[in-house]
Order: sequence, then structure tokens, then C-alpha cells
Amino acid sequence: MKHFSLVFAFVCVACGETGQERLGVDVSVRGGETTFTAGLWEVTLSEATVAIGPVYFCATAAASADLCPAATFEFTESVTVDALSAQAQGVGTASGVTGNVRSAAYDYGISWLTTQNQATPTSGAVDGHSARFSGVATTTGRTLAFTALLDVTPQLQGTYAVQGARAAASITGDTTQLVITARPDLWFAAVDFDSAAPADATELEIGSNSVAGNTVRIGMSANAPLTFTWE
Amino acid sequence: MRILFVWLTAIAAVTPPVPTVTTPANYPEALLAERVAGQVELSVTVLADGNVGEVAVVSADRPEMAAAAIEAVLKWKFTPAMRDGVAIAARIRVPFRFEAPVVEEVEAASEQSGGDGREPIADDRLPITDGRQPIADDRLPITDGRQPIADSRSPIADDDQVIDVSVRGKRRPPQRAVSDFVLDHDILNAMPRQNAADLLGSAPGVYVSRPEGDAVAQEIFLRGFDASHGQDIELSVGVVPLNQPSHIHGQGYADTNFVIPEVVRSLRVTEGVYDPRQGDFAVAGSVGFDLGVAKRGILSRTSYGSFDTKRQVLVWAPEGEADETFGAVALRETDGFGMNRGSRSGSGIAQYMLRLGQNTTLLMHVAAYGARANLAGVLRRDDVNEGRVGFYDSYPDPTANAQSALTSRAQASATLEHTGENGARTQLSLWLMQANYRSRQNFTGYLQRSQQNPTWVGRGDLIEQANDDFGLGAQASHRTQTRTLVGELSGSLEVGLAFRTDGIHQQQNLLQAPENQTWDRRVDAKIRGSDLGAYADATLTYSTWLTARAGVRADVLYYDVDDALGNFIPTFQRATFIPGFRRTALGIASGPRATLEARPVRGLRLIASYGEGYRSPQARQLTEGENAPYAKVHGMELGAAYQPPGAEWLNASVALYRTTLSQDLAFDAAEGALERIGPTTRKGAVAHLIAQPWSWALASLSVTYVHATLDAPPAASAENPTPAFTKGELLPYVPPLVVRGDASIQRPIVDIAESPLGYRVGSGFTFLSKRPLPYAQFGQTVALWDASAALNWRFVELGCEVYNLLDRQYAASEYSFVSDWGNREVPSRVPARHFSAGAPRTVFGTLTLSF
Repeated sequence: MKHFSLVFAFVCVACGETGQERLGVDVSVRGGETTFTAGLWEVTLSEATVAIGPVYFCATAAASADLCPAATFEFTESVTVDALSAQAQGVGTASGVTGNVRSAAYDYGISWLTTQNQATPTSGAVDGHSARFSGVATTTGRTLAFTALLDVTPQLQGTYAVQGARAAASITGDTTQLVITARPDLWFAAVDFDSAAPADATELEIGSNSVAGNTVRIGMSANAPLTFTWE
Repeated sequence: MRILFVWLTAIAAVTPPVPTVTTPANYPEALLAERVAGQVELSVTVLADGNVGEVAVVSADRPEMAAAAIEAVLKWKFTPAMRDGVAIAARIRVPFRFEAPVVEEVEAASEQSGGDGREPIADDRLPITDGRQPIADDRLPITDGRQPIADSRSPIADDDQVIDVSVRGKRRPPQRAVSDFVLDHDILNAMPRQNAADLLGSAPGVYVSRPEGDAVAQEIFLRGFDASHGQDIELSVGVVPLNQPSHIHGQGYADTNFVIPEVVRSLRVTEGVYDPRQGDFAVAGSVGFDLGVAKRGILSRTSYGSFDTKRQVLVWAPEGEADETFGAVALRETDGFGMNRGSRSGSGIAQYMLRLGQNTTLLMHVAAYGARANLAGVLRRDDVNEGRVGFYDSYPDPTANAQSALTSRAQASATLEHTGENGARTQLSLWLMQANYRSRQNFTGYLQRSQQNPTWVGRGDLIEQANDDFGLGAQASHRTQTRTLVGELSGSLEVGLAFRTDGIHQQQNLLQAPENQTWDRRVDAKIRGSDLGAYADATLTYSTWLTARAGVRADVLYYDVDDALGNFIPTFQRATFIPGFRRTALGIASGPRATLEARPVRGLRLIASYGEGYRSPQARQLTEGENAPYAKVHGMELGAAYQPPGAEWLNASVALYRTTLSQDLAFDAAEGALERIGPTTRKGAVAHLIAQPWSWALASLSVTYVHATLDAPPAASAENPTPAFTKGELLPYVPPLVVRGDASIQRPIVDIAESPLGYRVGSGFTFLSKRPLPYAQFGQTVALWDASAALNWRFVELGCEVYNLLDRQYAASEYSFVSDWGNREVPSRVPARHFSAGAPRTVFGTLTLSF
């Protein structure tokens, strides 16, 4: 019986193509600059631990739970990465089919699945949060050491924290790697350290709902979202 | 075959033998071209055990007729002659009359010899007088006043009985293509069949699965078409169409579950659309179930087997009535082969054929059916591979365990048929049907968001579909006599009308298990759909070697749709009108059908066929005033059938075909229904071989290959930004290669108490190559082996049937779509392979009693 199956399967090897191809690619994450300026402040990040994933790539220009019911490619893990490392950190494998993608939707370690009553940290979350930062901001005559523990959460049940992020690419059978770049320097570049802490403060704890925290979260989700490079 | 029994009065001490099994004689293939009539008279010794012993030819007009008569009578069985209560041998005379077939019958006989590989069988439906004996009843003995001979000194009662037999080519529609098959009783019984849909598996290129459980229609794959539940195949039982237009679960939904396989006499499978009689849904082809019971009396079949499956069938076929007259009932109950698969069903069919004079019959038919089944649904292949769920299990989730289906159907029909001289025939049929369907199925887990209240999400994608359909229709046709036109050119013409109208109410909702609370409404529509079709079909025959059949068919379809949820107002939009969308549409579909058949040498037939058919639309997809709402199919086939002269036991055919369809459909898991996928093309070949080297052995093999591609699938849109299909891609779900083989043997072993103990064994093999799936996936190959064996003695048969003998884990159906069953931390959004499990090895024991 098995032999019959093999014979017929062999005969039908060349029965045709499907036009698409399933493939998996390695995923790695690169970080941004350690030192940068934010207004008149020079900022040096000593830690930028960020939870990334899952990430879904869609053919539509505005990937979302409703506008992208079927993803073309996906990275279905939630991982913790050092967003200050210039070296690419291998974090796993993404899989999908060949074709064009135009946008991405993703979470920062906190997902709100359709079956959950509230947004919930995933296994890659940083102590239950989306990201943890620490660093020093310096300006003329003043030094401010800061830490931040931030949550970037989906707004509605069954949606993603970031929807419709630009991610135009053509994925072919020759594609072998996906590089995700996180830019915490850009996220913090818009922070107004002058007003973030009292003038005499030397330490600052940035909360998710603070002005500075919102600035970083907006940077993570809108102004400087993750970028994706297919190689 | 028309059988006329004429009994002579027996002397008091001797009871003449009574035939119990009368295998009809075949009109000799070699004489089809000559169309000659003739007589044969045989002297037959009926042994004390009821079998036929010595057979001698008393007279014969043609040796071919004598051979055919002998071949038939050797298969007859009798209740032996009795003298003083003791069985004795007896000699009887059996005259056979072979009538000259008219052109149509020549075609029919050719069809049978070429189409299904069998020789033409005799027509047992038409009363024919032989001019010698009065006909009181064609099955009851009458006397002619002659004295019987029963010599008490002789061990053999001599020539005291005449059984008069007439042989005609059985009337069937002429063969329209090489791939126009008639599967008769012998082939259908070669393998055990659990239900009527399984009978289809014997036709070349056909694969039938039941991925959605016992109460949902079977899924049929036919020569490059995934006909789903019937969208591409016109199915009928007698004159009653099974396809339901605009069904919520799938256009053309056709459930054959109510048909009891024990009363299926033959099956016509036309692969392609070449016959003007083929109407709506005849895209891949058409299938017609012919009901009748040849073996008269009472049959009780009791089966018990795996998964606590119980089945009881009772068939009553009154003696002295036509094959079409019978009553049958079937009950079935099972726990199912895995979680959440139990089902119960009951079906009843009754028919009565009334003879109104010599050439007119009235056939009345009623049937009723009800079934309910729990459904296990589909599983993700990766969940099974990673051990999250078992192969035969259902997801341990309320919304998965709430899946079920209930279906019912009742139908009635009456067919008046008058047969005239030389092939003339007039037929009028009326039918009505009520069908109810309600299913709850979840394919995608927890992806859906309520459209009525968008904040409602994640309550389970349990799609409830309900469809109530009341339909009635009529058919009328008239075929002229076959007339000689010029020289050797003769012809006939048939014209026909077909009408049906359906009142349909359908709904689709989302339910939240386990209370089955409604959390979204998707469809609530009332539809009136009607179809008026007319056709003309001409047959021209030149000499005995060339026949042309050409016709045209036109259908007018009109729809009135009251869509209560149309013009839906989203919650964020201020209401400025009342939801609802009523529209009407009418369209005309027409096209030619033509077949050219040449018989250049004896045994060889070459057939070229072309046809244009159509499929009606799902009415809810129509817009106001739309006038061309049909999927048009163009099909062509070139084939050859060969029956070697002198080796009529062998029949081979091969055909090349090409089919294009203007608008194809494929399954959409999100809606649990069919979506448009644009035009498609199929090219392929089919080879079929049937061999019956001995009367007790039968084997058949078919190989079908198709290259089916998508020509222009829908482009990405806002509604569907990630279309599943790309141009040039293989058509999803269609296996490129289908192989089917059947073999059966039926023989006596030994005599016990002067009755033969016989056996029969059968085996069937099915192979499907990998099925392409959407989003660059392929399914697995399917290779199944079924077997059966039985012992029979007198009126008892004890059998065993094994399905999936090697206990292979296989997918009855496979899909590729997105799902989220909440069983992983990070759900996947890339379409993944899903499947519904096919049954594991299943064993049944069957006790059959025939009285």
C-alpha cells in the first residue's frame, strides 16, 4: 500500500506549482545609538531592554486585526532584546509565504487577544512591561539620571499596539533574514527633560502615563516605530 | 429486460420450478450494427438444488443470440420442482426473443458497452407480447392449456414449463461522451457502500468525502472540480433535483444522505456538460440516481460495528411488480469515530409504478429523511503535530463542542411516461421538495468581531446557518420516432421543458457557546428563485458507423431577494434609513451541446464532445437588475472506447478533456461558505478499464489526471487585502491525480442441504495525490483500501466490511486559513493547514436476510 502511494506521489511530483512559496527566515534585532541629543540635553542610555513581538506583516497598507485578517508573514514570538546593541541579536524565526508586504502590526510584549478581557503581558515582557530604560541626561550645569518602565498596550480587545506600520518589501524565495531595528534614541529624542523633572532633581522615574513616558510610547508606536529590513 | 412467465399447469404430484433469480440477457454487441430481431429457444435442466444444469439450444436464429441467452440462463436460480414434497430436477423450455433495437437503443447499448464497460442489459420494464401467449400479468403464471409432462419414472420432469423472455436494449439517454458512465448494479455492489454518496466513488475521477459529519452533505471531487456540496455537479434522484439553489451553506447544496444505497439500481455519471438535458449546476457534470430493486421480496440488512454503529435497512419489493416499485427504510446510529461525532438518521423511500395500458406507466415516488449529528469540526495541523489535540479529537472548547447539524428533507414526484413506436417517447413529471438545514460550525476559533456591536469580540466564531427551502417543479419532454431521412441517414428529435421554483429563507448568525446566545447577525434573507429551461436535442445516424447528437439549451433564471440585513448601518453611523435591501434580477443562459460518435471498426468508438453549461448565482450576491449572473462553463472532450472483438469481457476507454469556467468558487472559512475566485481552466485525461473475464469476477480501474489553474483570481481589495490566490496557481483543494480500483469475486463453494454455500469478496482502492491548498500549502496524499467478504446460503448472507483497512490517518478534507483557538500564547495570523479527520479503520458485521 505504501509503495503504491509512493509511486503515485512520485508520478505527481511535477503536477504543478502553487504560485507562492512557504518559507522561514531568521529574525534578528539591532538597536540604536547609545548617546544622542534631546533638545539641549545630551542623553546616554545605559539600558534599553525592549519586548518585541508578535509581529505580523500584511499585504494591505494598514495592517490591523480587521484590515489584515490573514498575514503574509509573521514572527509569533515575544522576545526581550537589548535595544542598544549594534550587533544583530538572533531572536528566532519568522514564517509565511512569498509575496509583497506593505505594512506591519505588532505588540511590545503586551497583547490583548480576542479571548482576553484585558491586555496581558506575554512571556517576553520586561518584568511585565513593554520596555525598561535607564540612562543619564546632561545639559549645561545639570545631570539627570532617569529610569523608565513603560507599557505600550493595544487600545482595544483583539487589536495590536502598533497597527499599520510601514513595512514595504517584496519577499521572495531568496529572502533569508529579517532584521528588526529598534531606535530608542529616536524614542527619547523627543522627550522634554526640562519639564520632565523639577529643576533641582537629579533623578527621574518616568512612568507610562507621564508626559515623558507618553512621548517615548508615542515614539515607539508612531513617530519612530520598528523598522524591518529583509535580506 | 421484459420477462414474461408463462406457466403450464402441472400435474398434481409435481410442482414446477420457480425462478428466483433471473439475470437478464444482453442484446449481442456484435449484432447492434445490424439491428436484427430473432428468437432462441433453450432447453434448460433445473437441478434439484435450484441451479441450472444442462442447457441445450433447441433453436436459434443467430448463434450470437444463443450465446447471450445461454450466458444469461446459466446465472438463473430456481426453487426446484417438487414431487410429493421432494425436490427433483426438471427440464423446462426458455424462449428468448431478441428485438431489433431502434437507433436510440443501439446508442443505449453502445453506451453501456462503452460507457460503463458492460454489455447492454435487457429492459425489464416494458411489457412485450410475443403473440403466442396471452398476458394476464407479466410475472404471474398463466396456463395455455397444454398438458405438462411429469414422468414419475423419470428423475427429470421434462419440458413442462415455458419461461418466455424478451430482450431489448434498455432505454437510457444516449452516451454523450466517453466520460459518460452508467454504473449498474454489478459495479455498484463490487464494494460495500455505507451511503449513496459512496456509490459515486466507483466513477472514474470521483472522490467523495464527508468532512463535516453525517448530517451535512458529502463533498464531491470530480475530474478537477472541488464540487464541494454540489455547486458544480447536478445531482438528481429520478426526476427530483437534489441541488438547492442559493443555499446558505454553499450554492447548489445537494445532500444524498437520504438515498438508501440498497435501492440504487444504477448510477449515471456524466463528466462534462454535453447533454441538453443537463441544467443548473452541471458544470463538472451530472449524477443521476436510478432507483429500483431487481431482486423482489423482502430484504433485511442489519449492521453493527465500530464506534457502536448500528444500521438497519428494510426493503420490500412486492413480487409481480416492476423493479421501480418498492418501499425501503433505513435507520442509523453511531457514536462516531472520535470526540463529538455521534449521529442519528432515518430515511424512507417508497415508489410505485402503475401500468396504464401497454406502453404507459406512472411512477410515483415519495421520500423523507431526517438526521442530526454532532460535528467535531476542523483541527490545525500544527496543533496535532505539537500534541495540543488528538487527530480524531475536537478542540476542548465550548464553541468547538457546540458544533452540530440537523437536516431534513421530504420529497414527492410523479412521472407519466408513454413509449411509442420506434423510439418515440413522451414524459411528464411533477415534483415537490421541502428541505431544512441548520448547522453550527466553527472553523476559525476566536477571530470574529460583531458587526452589530463591534466591541463584542472573542466570543467564538460559531457560525449558525439555517436554510429552509420549499421547491416544486415540472419536466416535460417528447422524443419523435426515429425516421429514415435520406438513404442511410435517419434521425429523431427531442424537445423538453424543465421548470423549478424555490422559496428560500436563510439566516446566518454568530453564537456564543454553550448557551448559544446570538452575538451577531450576518444574514437574514428571503429569496424566490425560479428557473425555466428548454432544450432541443437531435440525433442523426448515418449507416451504422456515424452518429451526431446536437442540441441547444436555454434557461431563464429570475430572483427576488429580500435581504433584511442589507444596507447595514454601522454603529458609528447615524441611522438615516431602515436597514434592508430588496432587489430583483433576471438572466438568460444558453449554449449548444454536441457529440459526434464514429464507429470506424468493430469494437472501437471515437467520440468528440463539446458543450456549454452554466451555474446559477448565489442570489444574495446579485445586484438590482443584474442580467448576466451566471458562471459559464465551456467543456470539450475527445475520447475513444474499445471493446476487443471476441473479448467482450474487456472494455477500455481513454479521454482528453478541457474545461473553462468563467467564475469559480472556493471555500471561505471565515464565513463557512463559498467565495468567488475568478475564472479557472482544467486540462486532463482519464483512462478507464473494466474487465469481467468470468461471470463471477469483476474488476475496474480508473486513472484521472487534471491540471487545474486559476486564470484571474480577485486582486487585493480593502475587503480582502490578502487574497489567497494568485494567477496561474493550481486550483485549491483539487487533487491532480485520482486513482480508483475495484475488484470482486462471487462464487459458490459447496452445497449444503442441496443449496449452494457461496461467498463473495470485494476490495476497493482509492488514491489521491497531494491537494494544493491556498497560501502555498499542499495537503497530504490519501491512499485508502476497503474490503468486504460475505458468505451466503439460501436466504441468509453474513458479511464483514472493513473501511480504511490499513487504518491510515488521513484528512477527509484539508484547508488553509487563519484560526485562533486560544491555545497558544501568541496566535498565528498566517493561514495554516487545517483538516477534518477521515475515519480510522472501521469494521462492520452485516446480516442480510432475503425472502
